Amino acid sequence: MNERNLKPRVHESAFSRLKKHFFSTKGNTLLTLIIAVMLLAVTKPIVQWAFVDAVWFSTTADSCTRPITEDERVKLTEEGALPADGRVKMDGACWPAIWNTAPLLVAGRYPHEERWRIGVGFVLLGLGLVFAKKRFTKKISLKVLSVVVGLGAFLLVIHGVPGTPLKVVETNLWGGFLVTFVLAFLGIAGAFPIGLLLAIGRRSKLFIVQKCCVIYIEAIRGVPLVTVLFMANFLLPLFLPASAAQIDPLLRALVAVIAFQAAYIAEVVRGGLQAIPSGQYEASQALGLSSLQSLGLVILPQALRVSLPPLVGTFISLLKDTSLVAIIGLFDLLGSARNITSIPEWAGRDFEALCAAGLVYWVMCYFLSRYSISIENKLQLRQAR
Amino acid sequence: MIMTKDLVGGYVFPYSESASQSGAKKSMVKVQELNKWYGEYHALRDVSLSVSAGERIVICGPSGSGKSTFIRTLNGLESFQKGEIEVDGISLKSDPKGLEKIRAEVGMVFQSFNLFPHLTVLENITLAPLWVRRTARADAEKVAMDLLERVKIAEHASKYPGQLSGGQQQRVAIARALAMQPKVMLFDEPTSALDPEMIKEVLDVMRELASTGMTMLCVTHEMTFAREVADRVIFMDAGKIVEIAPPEQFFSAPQEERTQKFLSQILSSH
Repeated sequence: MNERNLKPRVHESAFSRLKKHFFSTKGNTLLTLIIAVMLLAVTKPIVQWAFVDAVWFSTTADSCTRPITEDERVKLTEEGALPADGRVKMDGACWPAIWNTAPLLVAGRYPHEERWRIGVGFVLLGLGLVFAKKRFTKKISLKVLSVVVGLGAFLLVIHGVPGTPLKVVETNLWGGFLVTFVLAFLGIAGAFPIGLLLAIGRRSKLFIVQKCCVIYIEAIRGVPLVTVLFMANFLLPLFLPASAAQIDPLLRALVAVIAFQAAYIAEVVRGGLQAIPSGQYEASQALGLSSLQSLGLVILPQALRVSLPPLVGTFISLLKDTSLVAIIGLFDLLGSARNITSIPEWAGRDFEALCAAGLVYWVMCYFLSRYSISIENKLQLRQAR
Repeated sequence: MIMTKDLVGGYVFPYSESASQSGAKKSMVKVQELNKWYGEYHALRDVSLSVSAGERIVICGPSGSGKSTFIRTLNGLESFQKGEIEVDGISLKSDPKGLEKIRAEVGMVFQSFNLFPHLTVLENITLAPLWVRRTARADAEKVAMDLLERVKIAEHASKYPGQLSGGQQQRVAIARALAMQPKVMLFDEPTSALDPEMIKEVLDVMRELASTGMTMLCVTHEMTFAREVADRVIFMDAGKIVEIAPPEQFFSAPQEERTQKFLSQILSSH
């Protein structure tokens, strides 16, 4: 785009760079050495456990254990902790514990013969997201429609439709990654528009609208998510008529997550709205645009750009906060991971399970933040000075 | 000036003949005893003015004199508490729909350009015609390209405002206002935020616009421009209109003492 006058590059050898960054003075050399020793001390056992000593592939739990030695038998008998099968865990990680419980981690107790529907659901959702891309349509309404249809298809296929070959799978059988994904994705999709409305409402000139939005936002931001989840799960059914008390527990959690995050999104978007100079409102009004048009065509597109990085931060914390639904008895990814240790043959494999769950969370968050950076770069390129 | 009620047929910029040439001088902007307060501060005091179609008015005065406030009340960017404003026969106060109607008829150019940074130059210009006038996209883009040609930046149509110089941005802003085919153009210190070498390119565009018979109200400190282009020059101070006179009289023989003082200050500094 812009022709830049490139700074001449000075060639620097790897050695001189190393010297400059790590060994420039005596003090720095000392620091480098101390930190290197500490890093080594910390990482070595981790690498040893996770890679070197680890058992990678096997279909049975036996490959991760070994018969106990005679010395151990004596010692363990004294302690009264002699294992019944006469085997003990080996030192390294037991990754088969993850592979062999993967269906549980991905889908919870979702019926075995229906699991293909989860794959189909994700493919349909993916298609919906792909069709929302610029390549296919530029109209915002069509983009939103495409995502909504994809999401609807995803839920219908996975939940099932009564009276059709797609048997209904109640959400109490859902679990693992599926629950985390549904809560996070629907949570973002639901909380974003509500947060947007709250942010706009908070800046409204109508007194009642403005005050209602302020009270809602401040009330929600004053309580922890755990409280909101408890309220939605245990208190709400008490207030509602008996017929409504049967609302699906997953739906209750989803409503709580949306209600909670909408308040945070509202504050982030409000920050973006405040960053737009008043001249932008004046110019759009002077051109005869109605206030709704000014908002939708001029103000919001700019405000959302400004608030994109903190918005993604909110989405990431929402994603991780979904793990709190464990306290109201839902088995999300983290809950399922902890649950696999209740399977006798994988008992004691908590650490492997938590590592696996952590890695999945990390990948999802990393993907979200990379995606937001790529959007930011694209927008910056377009408005380059 | 007496306002004529008969509406001369559709006045469409820029292809119609100038109203001053057609002879039938109808009143385009009519302001009566306008008063505005910011809290306790009396910002505009009994301002009355009638501008006929095709007339070019330059408003000057020291900062804080209310000249910007005045011009901004004309399209409802500032509210007012007392008085009456009519633009092209539409009253700003009585008719609740009046405001949006007036805004579509009145173009405004700001000191700080206020282009929409997330839209290209072309999109900036076509936005209001597409959404307010519901013009077909092809037509709106054709008009926009014609206007960009007129303000001499057609080659930058697909750039973003941030990629243009201040003078170029202000010319885009003028084209954006003209795309709505306004009957009146308001300029609020259009050259004050510009570097000296860019002032001329903007004034040239405004001169050209004046020559087409556009009704213009312009707040500016460019006295050469005022002398050259204005039909009447208005001097405001402390929220009041102090003096209204044709430019030759205004500059050579100002009647009021405050006008003389202001002129001696502003002209000596140039």
